[in-house]
Amino acid sequence: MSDRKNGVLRKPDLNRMINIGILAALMCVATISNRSFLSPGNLLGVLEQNAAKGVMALGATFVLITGGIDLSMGNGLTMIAVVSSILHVSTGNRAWLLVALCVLIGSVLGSVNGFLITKCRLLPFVATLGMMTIAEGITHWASEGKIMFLSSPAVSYIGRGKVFGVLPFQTVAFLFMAALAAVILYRTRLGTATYALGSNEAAAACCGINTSRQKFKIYVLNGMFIGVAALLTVSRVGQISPNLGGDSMMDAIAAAVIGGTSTMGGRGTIGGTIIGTLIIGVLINALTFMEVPVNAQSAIKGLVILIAIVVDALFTLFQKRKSGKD
Amino acid sequence: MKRLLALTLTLAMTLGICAGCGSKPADGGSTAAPDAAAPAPAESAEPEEEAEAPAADTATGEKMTIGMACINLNDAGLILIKNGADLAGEDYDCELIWKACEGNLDTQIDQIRGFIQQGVDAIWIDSCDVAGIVDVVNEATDAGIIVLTAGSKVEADANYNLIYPDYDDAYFSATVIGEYYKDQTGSIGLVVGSAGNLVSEKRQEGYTAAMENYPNLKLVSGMGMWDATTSMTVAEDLVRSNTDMLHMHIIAAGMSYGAYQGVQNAGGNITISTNDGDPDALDYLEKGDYLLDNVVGNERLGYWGIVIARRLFDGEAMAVDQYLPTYKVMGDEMLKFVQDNGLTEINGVTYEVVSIEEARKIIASESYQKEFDADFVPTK
Repeated sequence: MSDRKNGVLRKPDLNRMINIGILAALMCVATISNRSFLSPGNLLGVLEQNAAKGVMALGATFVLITGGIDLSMGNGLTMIAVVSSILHVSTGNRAWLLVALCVLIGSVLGSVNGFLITKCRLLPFVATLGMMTIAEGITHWASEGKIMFLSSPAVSYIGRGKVFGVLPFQTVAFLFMAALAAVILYRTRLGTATYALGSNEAAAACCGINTSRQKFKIYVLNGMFIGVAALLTVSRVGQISPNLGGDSMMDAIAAAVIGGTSTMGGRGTIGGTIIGTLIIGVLINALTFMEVPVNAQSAIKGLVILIAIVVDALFTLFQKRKSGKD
Repeated sequence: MKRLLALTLTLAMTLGICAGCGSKPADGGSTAAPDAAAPAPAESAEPEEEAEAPAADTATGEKMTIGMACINLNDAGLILIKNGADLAGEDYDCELIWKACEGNLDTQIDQIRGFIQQGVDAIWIDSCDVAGIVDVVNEATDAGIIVLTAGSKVEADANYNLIYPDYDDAYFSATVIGEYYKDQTGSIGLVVGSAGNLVSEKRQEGYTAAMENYPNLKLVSGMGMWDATTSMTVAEDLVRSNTDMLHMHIIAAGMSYGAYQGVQNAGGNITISTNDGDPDALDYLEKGDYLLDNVVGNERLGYWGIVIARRLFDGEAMAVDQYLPTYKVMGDEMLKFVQDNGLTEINGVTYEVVSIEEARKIIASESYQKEFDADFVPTK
């Protein structure tokens, strides 16, 4: 796990430097196009806009490090937001209930995924694909396609409040969740097991790790992160609709992968995911500031993500060859 | 562990059931669906007998079966269309069979072929791809089935097109805003749906074409992807990147609520307009949060399509292209501005302008039941 060996930068540091370079380049181009980009209001706005996606990406980081994937994240987020909000509104707008329900239903979603993967021995891709459809069905059944507005002041504060009148509450929540994720990943047995599962599951089992139990816990943890992301999303938008999740799943997975998390498992960091989230967020924001034609924005976003991943893969290959020669 | 899992799964099911039961909001929220929301003043003013009365007797007296091929049945607007169509089905003795293809053209083609096999009397299609469905539409009409294509013109041999003037409506909105701000310099934000979507593209084209007449106004666009979260983010970015922004137009009411929130988050002090004339958007208009809207009325739209199908089934001759009348709605001050500046006719197209109260009447079910009753004359 060490980032340095004999003074030579190793993979995680190099990957992070590349990402920081990409982020800086994006910010430079956007600033040259439009000086308002660097205004404090916009930069804080970008952090606020991407807090929920970032929390989701943190959960995805755990799952990806184990070599798994969760395709139910986007629809799961919408389902959690819709069901929790309906219960919240129909029981008198209690904000604590909304918070509790989001985390609880998120855990249930993660538990079902974990159960299907560990007990029913389904591939994560298949299990979460099924869950994705179920979550979508529950969303439409519960919401009946209607739009509903939330009006509780406490929920508005979670969505749009400012800590000390400056820092968006959403950003604070994201930083808290990132710190929590870092503690779990780097300072607990579950974190060690997460890397072990992704590096070599059979070897991890031989070392005495209960692989099924640990994997189950990771999916539950991921579900809780999705629940928090749902809370942040629904409170910020202030309304629920069946289309709330949008393309959040793709952005979350892309943020983790850009941040250096391997889709093959065994590799990934919380710091990398934070930077990946910022790259995605700044990219979307910068395209507007650069006045890129609206119909080209999706293609450019996809292209930049692809370039970031390819550059990362090429440097990984370069490092492997170099260490082979050494 | 097994007990824990059993408990969590039971809890999940219980929560799901509670959610289904608890969809009617308490005092803290409101829903967009007309059956759940508080009735609009105009609705409550109408006598009840009119609401309950079926719109018309059918000429043939036969029950009719209509296959309804939709892009999806999840979107709030499409749910409203379905509600209106179902009501017309009851009024005009039509059985509606609903299918959704979730945006997949192949699935939609299969579903239409399924309707042909079933021997339905008519097929109503909200098409994924106007060019891609031409062959299967021809198969259906060759089999003697009435085919109605909704929203845009499909160039098949014998289908009927149910058209609502998206281009012209957007052109009107942009012209009014252009005239309103003709003495100022600044930017105008436009939030569109998604690339490749016909409704989005028509509305974008109309708005962009009209804005070209106002070189003092710079049009800047963002893609809301039809969802509230993305629309909010896009609106925030547009306001922050264009500090001289005067106005934002969102091409669909469903996206406008998120975009409105985005404008507020970014501290924008600008006017907003939208399209569709949904009940919640009319509330925003009444409060002065919105400047302008266009009343299509999604329920009304669904109802109208079934009425046309029924009339065709009963043997009435009508034009291949059927046009749904739309109405421009705005507050009193804006209404006066439009009338004073002669904006009710632009480039030879006449636009009907209504007040907010009149708009509420138009989208109320008793009104469109009456609008499309036996006296309604389709485009001939």
